[in-house]
Amino acid sequence: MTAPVYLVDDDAAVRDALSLLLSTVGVDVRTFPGPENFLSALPKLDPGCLILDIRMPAISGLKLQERLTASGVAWPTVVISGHGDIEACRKAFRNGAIDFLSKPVDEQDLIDAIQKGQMALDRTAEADAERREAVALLAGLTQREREVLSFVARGFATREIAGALGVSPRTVESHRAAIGAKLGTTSPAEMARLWIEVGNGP
Amino acid sequence: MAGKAATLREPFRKPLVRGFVWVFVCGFLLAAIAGFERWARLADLTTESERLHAIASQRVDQHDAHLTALSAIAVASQDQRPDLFLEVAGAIMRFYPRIIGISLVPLDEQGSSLDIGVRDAELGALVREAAKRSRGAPVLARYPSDRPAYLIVKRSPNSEAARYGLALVIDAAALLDGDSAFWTQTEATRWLALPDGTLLVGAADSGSSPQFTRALSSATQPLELKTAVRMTILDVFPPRRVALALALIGFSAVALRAIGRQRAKVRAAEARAELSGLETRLSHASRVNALGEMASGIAHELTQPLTAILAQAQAARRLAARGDTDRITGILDDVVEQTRRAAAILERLRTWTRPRERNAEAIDMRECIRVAGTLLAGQAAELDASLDVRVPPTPLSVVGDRVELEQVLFNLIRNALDAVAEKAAPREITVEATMEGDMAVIDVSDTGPGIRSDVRDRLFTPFMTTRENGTGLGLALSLRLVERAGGDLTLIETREGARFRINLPLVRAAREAGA
Repeated sequence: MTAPVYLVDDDAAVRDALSLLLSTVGVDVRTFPGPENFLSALPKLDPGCLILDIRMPAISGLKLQERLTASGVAWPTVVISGHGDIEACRKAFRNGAIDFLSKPVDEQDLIDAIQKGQMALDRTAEADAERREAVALLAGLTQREREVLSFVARGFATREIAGALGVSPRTVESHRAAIGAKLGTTSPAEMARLWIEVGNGP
Repeated sequence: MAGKAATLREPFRKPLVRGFVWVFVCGFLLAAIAGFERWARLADLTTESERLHAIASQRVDQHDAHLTALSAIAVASQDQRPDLFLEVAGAIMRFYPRIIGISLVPLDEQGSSLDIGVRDAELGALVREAAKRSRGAPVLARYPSDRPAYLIVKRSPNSEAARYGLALVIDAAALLDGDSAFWTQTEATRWLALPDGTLLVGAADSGSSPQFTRALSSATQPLELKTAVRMTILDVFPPRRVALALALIGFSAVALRAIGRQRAKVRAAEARAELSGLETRLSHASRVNALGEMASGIAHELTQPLTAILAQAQAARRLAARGDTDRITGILDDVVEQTRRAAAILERLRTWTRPRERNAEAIDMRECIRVAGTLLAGQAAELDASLDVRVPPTPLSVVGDRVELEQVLFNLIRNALDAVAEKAAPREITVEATMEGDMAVIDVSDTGPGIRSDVRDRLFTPFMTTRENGTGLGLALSLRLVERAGGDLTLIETREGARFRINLPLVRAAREAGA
């Protein structure tokens, strides 16, 4: 477990006890006494898993969830509540919560929820890394090679590309060889995947 | 103003409407009786008149036959046999008493008349004149006398060569004689007139107009028969029938009102039952609601320390498993602290104090008793229970919250009312306030069934109730409120009924106690 866990609860005793429990299982916990404190600290925080109490003064856990979603922070969120209120539970899930736990929270449920959050975070991180790699690879191509790659990604054969660009099939072949060398693959499918990953729609 | 006027008018409106309806119904019934009586009398008159008409018509027809017979005798005997004529005429008159005279008058004035029953100088000339006037049909004329009689004159023989005038003198009154009691017993009037309108029978100005008019069905004597019946107020409104009708109306009105009142009573009872059912449901619902809200709040408050305790205990278990015992002591301290926090919440539930501004001041308990008594006077009256309040003439000043102490007295008196309601009369509740040293002592006693020994020990425990709809909070709350004011509330042993005693320190004593 690498990503940090952010716990927002207005009750100091609950905050301390839960962070103690999580620290004993090796989770890096940072606590905030209220949504405002968390929001002000947010710009400097690494992506992590959120644990929100639903009933807090000023801004409720549900409101905080909505604000985070609105500002593009899609971190996995676990909502905890004093009463198992079905309406609140439904709202939490609609806002994108990955889990909803009733107080008192059992350690195993909490750890499972956090693990779910970690996995979600990992998936996001992995996707980000792949995208960054693709961008770096494509950055090495010349303008002409990029043009040829776009045709290849859309499934055109060498002869068709040559006709479209007004060059000989031979020239297209040599461009393809260069692209293959730079991207480390000669498979048109793999080329198409990289092309889409950097943000070009099919 | 308008509303007030309407409410003022309200008590008058109903009797007024009722009076109108009564008058209308009476009037309608009397009119119906009058109409019926009138119709019945007119129907009688018509029936009787028709009968009379038939008899009279038949009678006058006989006159034609007599005239023809007598004329034949007169012509046949040719003045030779006046005895025969007189014999036959006498026989006819004996047999028909209404024919009061027969006269045979020679048309030449030298001859002498044959007169039977009548001797009148003018008669001869009258008959002669009439006979000369006759053109075949007999001539009718008033008989010149004070008798209601008329003449029927015929030529004899009945041709232009007539030699005699033959006349019958007929008593018109006798013509109308009959066996019907109708004409003698009632206020009936009869007229009989010659076709030319000459009145024979009946007064010309009797005051009533004819209700039946018909000419006799005779070719020779179409005398006009008219009848009327005078109706007196007693005829139109027969006293017995009117009395019966009025009695019927009166009885119906009384019966209708009785039924109406009964139905109103039933409706009112139903409305009351519905209302009390509603109140019962409402009070139950509000109690459940209040308890539910209280439970929800308490549940949330208890959740926090429990969450902390669970997390701390689980963390401590992990640390212990790892052999990291140094931190456990600190965690256990936290657990103890959170447990105390939970216990404090439970303590609040136990005393179920609500955060309320309490205003302790010197108050006169006599006032509190009065307020509570006033609030419950209606309920006491409903149960037919007496509420006897005995207070000293001087103020009973204690320090406490006025509303709270009023509530205590209210609870105790209401409990007493509920208790006496379970028993038949006498239902007596006594509130007696006295001063004993530096304490105010207020006893609330009732003549109810008393407190069962099995609930006596739990009497002041919350949610303990012997009543179906009781909350079980009344006595518990009362005890707490009295204790707050520095006093106490106890159940006093009595032989019958129940007696609760409130002891409260009087103001001076309260000050000394530092309350």
